[in-house]
Amino acid sequence: MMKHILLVITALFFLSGCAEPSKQIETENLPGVENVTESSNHIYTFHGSLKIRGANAIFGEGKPSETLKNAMKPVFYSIAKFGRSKNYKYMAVVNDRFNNLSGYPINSWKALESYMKLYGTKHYRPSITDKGGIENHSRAAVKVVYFKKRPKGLFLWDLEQLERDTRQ
Amino acid sequence: MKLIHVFAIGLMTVTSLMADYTTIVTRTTPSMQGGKEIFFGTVSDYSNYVTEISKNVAAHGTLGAVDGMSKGAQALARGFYGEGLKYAGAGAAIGIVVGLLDPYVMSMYADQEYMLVRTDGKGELESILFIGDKHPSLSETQIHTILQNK
Repeated sequence: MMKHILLVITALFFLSGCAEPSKQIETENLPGVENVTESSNHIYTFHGSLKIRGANAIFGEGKPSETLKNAMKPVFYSIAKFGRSKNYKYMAVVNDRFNNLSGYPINSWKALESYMKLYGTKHYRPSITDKGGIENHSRAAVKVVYFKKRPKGLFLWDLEQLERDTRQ
Repeated sequence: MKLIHVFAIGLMTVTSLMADYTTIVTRTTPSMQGGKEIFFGTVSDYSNYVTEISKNVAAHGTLGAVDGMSKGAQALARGFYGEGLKYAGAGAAIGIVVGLLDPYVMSMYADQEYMLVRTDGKGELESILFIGDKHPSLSETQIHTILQNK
């Protein structure tokens, strides 16, 4: 099992040095995401966004966390759906501070929701539009690595559970 | 005790009670239950130690000499692999990818993030995450007690 993990590490480590550009992934069947790319080291980045205008752009849809949740949920659904379509069972989020591979423990939608109830992200910033209105453009860009088997001791997300929890 | 001291203690107690925080329990596998505490500290320290251990493992193909690692990483490695540091496949080995990724585009943040990690001794982990607000009024000892009782 450990050898398997090390192979994954080594592969990610060495492949990250390659100059091969990112590949665009077809997003037709992935709701809520604008685009998906696969980097040469097999890290998939899912981009989603949610634009809110008017008073809600300032006050959020109830709370800032609601706005963030609404932007994130379809992205995580698509992450689960895409991974399962490729026969993967688990994934790790590998964003900078939020990195399951360096021990970050949040590994379910329920846990992420609890986090978001107390905290939003730095991206909750209302702005003035070209037409003078107020807009809040929440962006979500989530980087993930998929796994077919679950190495012990890592906080990985179960894709089947994630798809169930984020289906709308 | 002067009146001002009573007032100060009262104020500290009230602000402590007002501390806004939440705790989140996660496990590497749903069947993992409890176990021995192997880490308590900030999330940032935990990530750094995991990365340090992972680099050590990746460099040697197994857990190599730990003398060069920080004391915190050595202590965590003992938690993962036991006192004899026998490499037993306890996981936590892929942190090496940290630093090789593109600049981040999304990150969650909190003002106080602590975690307590327990192991079942078979390589699975349980984490209790503490997320506190921007006016931290709980000490590390208080946070540790809260997490130990979860």
